Amino acid sequence: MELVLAVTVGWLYACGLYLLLRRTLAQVVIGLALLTNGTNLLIFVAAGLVRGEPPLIGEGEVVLAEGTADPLPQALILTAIVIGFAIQAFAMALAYRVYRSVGSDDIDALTTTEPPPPPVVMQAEEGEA
Amino acid sequence: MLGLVMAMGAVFVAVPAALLLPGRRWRGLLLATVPAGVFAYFVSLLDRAADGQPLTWSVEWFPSLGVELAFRADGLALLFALLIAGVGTFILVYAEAYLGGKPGAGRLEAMLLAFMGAMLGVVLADDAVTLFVAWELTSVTSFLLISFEQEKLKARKAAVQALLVTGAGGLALLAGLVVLGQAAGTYRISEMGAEAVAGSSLATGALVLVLLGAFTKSAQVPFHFWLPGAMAAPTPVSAYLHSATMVKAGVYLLARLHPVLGGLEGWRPAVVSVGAATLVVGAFVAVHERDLKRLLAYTTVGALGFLTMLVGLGTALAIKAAMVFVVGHALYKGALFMAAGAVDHGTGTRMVDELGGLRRAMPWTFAAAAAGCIGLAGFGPVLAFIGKEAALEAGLEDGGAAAGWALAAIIVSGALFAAAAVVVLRPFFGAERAPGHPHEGSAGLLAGPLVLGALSFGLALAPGAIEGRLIAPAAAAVAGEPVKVSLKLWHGFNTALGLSALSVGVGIVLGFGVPRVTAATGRLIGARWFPSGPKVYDWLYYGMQRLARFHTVWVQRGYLRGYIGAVLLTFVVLAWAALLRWGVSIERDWLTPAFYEAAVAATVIVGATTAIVHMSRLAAVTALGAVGFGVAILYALFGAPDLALTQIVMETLTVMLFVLVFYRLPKLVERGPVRRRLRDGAVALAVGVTMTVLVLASLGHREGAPISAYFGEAAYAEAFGRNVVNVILVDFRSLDTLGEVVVLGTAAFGVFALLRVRRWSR
Repeated sequence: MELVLAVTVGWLYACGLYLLLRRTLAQVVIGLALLTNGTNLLIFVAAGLVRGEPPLIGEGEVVLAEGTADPLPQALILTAIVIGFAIQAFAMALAYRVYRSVGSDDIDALTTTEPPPPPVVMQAEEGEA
Repeated sequence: MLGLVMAMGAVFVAVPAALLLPGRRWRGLLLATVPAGVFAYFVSLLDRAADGQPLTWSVEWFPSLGVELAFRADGLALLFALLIAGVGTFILVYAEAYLGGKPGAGRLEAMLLAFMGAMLGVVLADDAVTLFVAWELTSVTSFLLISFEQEKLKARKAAVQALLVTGAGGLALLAGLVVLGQAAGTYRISEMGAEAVAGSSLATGALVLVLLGAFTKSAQVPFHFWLPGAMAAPTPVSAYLHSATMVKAGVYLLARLHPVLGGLEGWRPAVVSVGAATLVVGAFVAVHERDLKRLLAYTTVGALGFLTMLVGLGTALAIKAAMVFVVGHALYKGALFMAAGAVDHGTGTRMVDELGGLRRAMPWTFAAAAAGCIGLAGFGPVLAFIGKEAALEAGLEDGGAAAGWALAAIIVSGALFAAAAVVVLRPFFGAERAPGHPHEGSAGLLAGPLVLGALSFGLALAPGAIEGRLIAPAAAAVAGEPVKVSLKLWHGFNTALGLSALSVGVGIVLGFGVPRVTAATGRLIGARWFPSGPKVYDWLYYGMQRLARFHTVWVQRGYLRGYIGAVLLTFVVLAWAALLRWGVSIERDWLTPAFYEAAVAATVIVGATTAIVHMSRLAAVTALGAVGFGVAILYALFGAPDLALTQIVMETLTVMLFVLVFYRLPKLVERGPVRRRLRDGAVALAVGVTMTVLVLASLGHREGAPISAYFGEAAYAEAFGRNVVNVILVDFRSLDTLGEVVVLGTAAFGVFALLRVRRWSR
């Protein structure tokens, strides 16, 4: 199963990054969503897979039983899922705003906001050599 | 013992006073009382230094690093401190008269005082780090003073040049002092042992770095060019910083560290050769200058080379000569600079060729200039002459190869200095000629040069006043052992006198023929191809900017995919380099996938594939939903119900958002040629494969016990919760969760702002 999920992670990364390299704004945002899922799954798989044993302390017990899933990566991923959502929401709003302001969803249309630096000019001294 | 700090403090306290006092004639006099008082205080310390019990003061600064704020007034420190306070007193009076009434005069005096305080810090410091801090302060105040007339491009350029050259040297010095401190085992300069340093493998590094710092500060070849450039500053600044005091900081540093570094093998050849080269180059170029201040600047470069060379020789006689010459030079060069400023003030020009016959209109300025020129020529009853004779004797006595070169340099430069002195005096003779109506300067302008010029004679005629109390303790501090000093103006007819007379005589003859004699050599050093300092500096300075521009244009293309692609390729290369370097071991004790698990994973893969292939917005959102819910099911299957629940909630919201926003965006279109898609696909696939391998490799590398065990034990016992993930989030790591809430809130504000912008701008 680890192999299957590792390939899934790799494929999510490949698809997400391919979209991130597109020129169309909406595709970049979709790519971001795929990348988020890929990363969360990466941590999940790398932490070790345990079938059907959630990190819950049973009734009448005081410590977590052996053989249950590792709770710490789960806590990290939970946070990451929520933050990932926040980022996607922001990215979408940004994409929408850019489209409305620039009038295009082509990322290459945005390059004019950062013109190349002016050529270096030697300052001439007045009078003296 | 607090007196040392109070003396420096008094100078700094006077800084705001200079800014606040109204611009009256008495302001300069009033401010000058501060350095005058400090001067008197330092005089009172001379006896203690001569007795070998210098005044010290220290307080811990960075105890963990062994760095202290430490000061020590030994003979060498006092010699320089007296110069700084003494010349400074006259400079303040002079500055008030020079800028008299102009706005900004107070600012100039304030900065001069700030510099004075910093410079006192340099010479009194006994801790390497304290010394460095004061050293950098002098560079900064020098920058501010050179750029005093900041509306002029020339002044700004010269200031930046001086700052860059001395600043770069300062960095080298910092490194050098740290290395030296490591080698010596202490940052207290007075406690550094020559044996400890010489025995350390760091010795050569420390020497090279410290020398770089000293050479840049004291304008040694090939870093000398910033000093003539610094003449863009008002004359009081040139006379004070760039002749009498700051530029001598490098010489001071060499003298200060001579007991520690002087015994190293490279010291003598390096310091003597650089000093001798600077002496000859400075004197040679000086003769070609037509601008009085620039001419004097080049002779200053030469004099600094002379001092460096003497400290490099390091014999008792050479050190004695250097100490005498430091004082002699400050006196005659200070007088000359201030006289040149008075000429500029009285006639409106400093160009030698435009002036003539000034001795009638400006008799007192002429007197000061003449006194200075005798010092410059180095022949006559002046203190600089005693120093020069001692240097010649030191060279004759030594007999080594380095001393031979030094001797040659002194004789050649002696002639050139004499020629320069003739050039300086020319404006005072002949038919009266000046652009304006030449008039004598005010008392404030004349007091400084006349007193310094007179002292130059007075101390030479009565050297007993300084030989025992001032020169001997200073020379002893440099030599690291007691030095017997008895100064005499007249040594009888000896070889040194003969050499001196010969070179000065040739120089004077040379001086009268200057424009013709130097025509050919002037063309040479003025030639376009000649690699003069400023040209090399400009080449580096603008070359750096061109390189930065080229780099920016080349790297910062302005295309998102370019940046992402560069990051990704770098990542792939580094990851594989690491994997191949340390080997990949993938352990295959994997769980056997159940068919439903495999089916879910396949759904995710198909969903992702659809998202990249389909150009329909609806299909893309649906595919994204399939991926998200598929991942949620995977979480549920492998023991993470909380993740599954969160993922489902968030995925639902995400899909809704996508539908809402995509509805308002144009249809998806594939842009760019197929070639680019294939290239991007290859890059993306490379990263994907790398990630897969990394996941599998990470499974086989578990080192150290996971810290999760603690949470499993403490969750119920301490936090009374059975869902360990929840307990971690809301209890153990609740601050992280708070941070997460803040991120969400910030994103919400951001989204709100982005969507509202248009409404506001309407």
